Amino acid sequence: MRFFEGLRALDLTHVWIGPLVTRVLSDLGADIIKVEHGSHPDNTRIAFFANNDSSGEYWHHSVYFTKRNAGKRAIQVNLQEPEGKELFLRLVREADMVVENFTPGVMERLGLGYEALREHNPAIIMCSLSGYGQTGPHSHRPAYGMSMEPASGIATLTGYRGGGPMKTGQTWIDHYGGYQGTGGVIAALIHRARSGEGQHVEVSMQEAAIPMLAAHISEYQQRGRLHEPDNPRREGKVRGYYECEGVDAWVAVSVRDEAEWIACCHAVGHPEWLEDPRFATAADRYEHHDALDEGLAEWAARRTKFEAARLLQEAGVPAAPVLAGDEVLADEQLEAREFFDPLELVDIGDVPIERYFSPRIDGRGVPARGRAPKLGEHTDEVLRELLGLGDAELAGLAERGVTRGEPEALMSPAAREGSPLPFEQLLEQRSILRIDEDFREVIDAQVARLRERDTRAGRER
Amino acid sequence: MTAPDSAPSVLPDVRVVELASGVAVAYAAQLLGQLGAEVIRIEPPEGDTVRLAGPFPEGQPDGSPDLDSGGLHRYLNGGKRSVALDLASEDDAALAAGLIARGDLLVGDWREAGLLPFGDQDAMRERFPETTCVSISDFGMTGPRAGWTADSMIHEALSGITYVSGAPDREPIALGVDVADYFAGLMGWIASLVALAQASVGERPGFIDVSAHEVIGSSDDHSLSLYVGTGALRRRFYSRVLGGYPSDIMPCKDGHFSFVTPQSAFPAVVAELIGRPDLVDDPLFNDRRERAVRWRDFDALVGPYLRAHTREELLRRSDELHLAFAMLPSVADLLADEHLHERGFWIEGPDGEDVIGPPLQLPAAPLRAGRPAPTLGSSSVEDLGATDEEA
Repeated sequence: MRFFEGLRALDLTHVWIGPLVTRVLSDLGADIIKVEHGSHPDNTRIAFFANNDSSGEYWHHSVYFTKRNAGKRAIQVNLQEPEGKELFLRLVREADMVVENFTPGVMERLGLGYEALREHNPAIIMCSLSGYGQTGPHSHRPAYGMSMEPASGIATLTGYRGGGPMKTGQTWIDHYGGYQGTGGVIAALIHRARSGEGQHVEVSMQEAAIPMLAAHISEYQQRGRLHEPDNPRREGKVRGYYECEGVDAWVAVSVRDEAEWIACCHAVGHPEWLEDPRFATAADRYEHHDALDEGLAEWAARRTKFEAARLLQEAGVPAAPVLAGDEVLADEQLEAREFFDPLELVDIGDVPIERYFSPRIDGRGVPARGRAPKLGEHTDEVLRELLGLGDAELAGLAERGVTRGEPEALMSPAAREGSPLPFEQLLEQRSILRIDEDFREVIDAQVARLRERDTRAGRER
Repeated sequence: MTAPDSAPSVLPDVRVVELASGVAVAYAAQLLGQLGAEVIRIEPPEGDTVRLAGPFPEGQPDGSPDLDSGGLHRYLNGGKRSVALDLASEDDAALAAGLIARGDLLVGDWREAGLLPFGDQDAMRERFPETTCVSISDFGMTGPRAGWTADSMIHEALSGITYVSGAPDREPIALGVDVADYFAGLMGWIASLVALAQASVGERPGFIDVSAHEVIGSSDDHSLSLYVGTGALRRRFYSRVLGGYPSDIMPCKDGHFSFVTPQSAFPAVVAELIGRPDLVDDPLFNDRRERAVRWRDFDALVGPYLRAHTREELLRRSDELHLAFAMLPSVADLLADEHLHERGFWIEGPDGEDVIGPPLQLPAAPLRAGRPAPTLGSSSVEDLGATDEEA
């Protein structure tokens, strides 16, 4: 897209929240240069690597890393060394944005805080994403998505009745904070295009998530009322998960209003509920929810989760199968909407990855622009192109370790041996449901379909 | 902190028309308004789902609440203007068309827009050549599920979040907040900004189709990655990261706290935390795989220490040792949180109460949060620039 073409970001991000921001900017057309060093690679380069096999350059085999870093270039620069720092600041002069998600204080300690960057490029847009923000008494706290669902107040509202607070098993809050930052950077770019002025965009994951509590905050202020976890019930609704035919198969049902309630009673073969005084109003139904659960569970138990959800939706009732990872990949709606794109996973083969900017603009989707970069893959290319360095200078920098460092921590026998997950024991524990021996065929077939789709549409990637 | 109206803003000359259609649309428009856009909300005369959602102050009759007093409305519609129009009437639809034609952006759900007599995407583009339409809907405008209906719980189920959340021997869990609505609102906001950016270089898009299903569906942590890479299928196991323990909410002396640590420092620092330096070489401390499998043994080692200490004490130790422990604040705790107050996050509202501040900081063009919400239909189309002929 023209607005983003020619814009360049230096990407100091790692793990998830920050890499999401730069992945979206890359998809939109910006040039993203991921800055790492062998001594400090993005440690998700080894997150859930392919085949659970830590031989070879397994730090290039992570699907987790690939989808968050697709389409970027990667260089090695050691920011701990004065020479590396100077190199980085020269790159800042050639950049429009710097994005980072270190714990607050790290950039300043490196001598690369916003004030320092601005001296080298007054129009630079810096984006810092952190758990608690850049200021305030908690700002120094390291944060992970797993800790921010609790710290944002959401976990105290989530969980089983009487069972204490819980978080979910998916660290969606990193993704959420990343989108908040993405919009912030684009807003700053719009502001700069008009005023010429750069700025330091700042996202606190905690503050970004608090708007989701708006109704709860208001209820506390107006009525002094705090809610306890009561999975998955909500006042005014009929909601539940009901077990279906199959292994660990559930259908989710959420009846929000009178029309959906009437439709639900008919769909599950209980029209008599409409005459039952226990279920006369939404408040009555909430009070007698256990009785409804019994009837709904009995209805669901005789169907697959897909069939149950389809029957309810056809009647106008919000319902869905609870999908496992492989089922999300195979989802027909996502396939019809071209949500997955085929992308190369180095050494392994092509894999399907999600769109991170999913809206269709005038009917066109916005896929990733290429595979994820290998560690330092574009060091020479970028330093030649942006700083005009020659062969001798590049060789010198590499030799002195400024722009080259082997990922020694990942290459050691101990790391290789200690990195694979203990699949057998996790299966026994039941944190893994099963391992599909034929998964590669399943993935290859999906990729072939996606490639064919792109060929039909005349798209090359 | 919120900005005075005189401060520079990102979108000073932008007019957004919001066709009231739920939380996601209202949040996208709210964020555009915080960036300085003028937001005109077209609402049905009887109030929309956001106004009807409450929560309402005590003492209001259940059947006919004051539609200007709901908490969700007061947050999501702060700073907007409200026009009440019955789009089923030809005259009101024509007035709405006039407002849309003068807007830079129309934000709504295509299923609501479909009620307007304006026709499909192409017809909208033709009729409103200067306005980008941003549709934010449950499943987007196409595909076999375009006609399905959903709330956040349904979207969570389809996204893969639900399957990995909860205890292994019980039903899965839903989030206590409507995360899918806010995800979709964020993406509607981003898509709107992309449209404005593109318009500034002469490439204004006509129609943008945002699907809530896809936005939350892109938030996979490692379930899809794991399957694609290894064929292993993750399921719920106390909402834990696979093979990572602890990444959990744990009990302590006076409640619960979040026990998360940077992995590299784990053995030494956690051994120091519980005053058992002898355990630094214990496989439960220096081998994450061992810990993930024998997590109950690990709990037995750290449990006594945790149960003997309060949340405050544990957080203080976490700060000293650079761990990533976190509190589990309730809404009341957040409102009293010294960190959030020191950052100026809470803003004083019209009645002196604390209201939610901006969800991000743009110092050169500060966001405008915490403004009062309009009473239903408080602006007339004449106020908003309708021509005499339209009015």
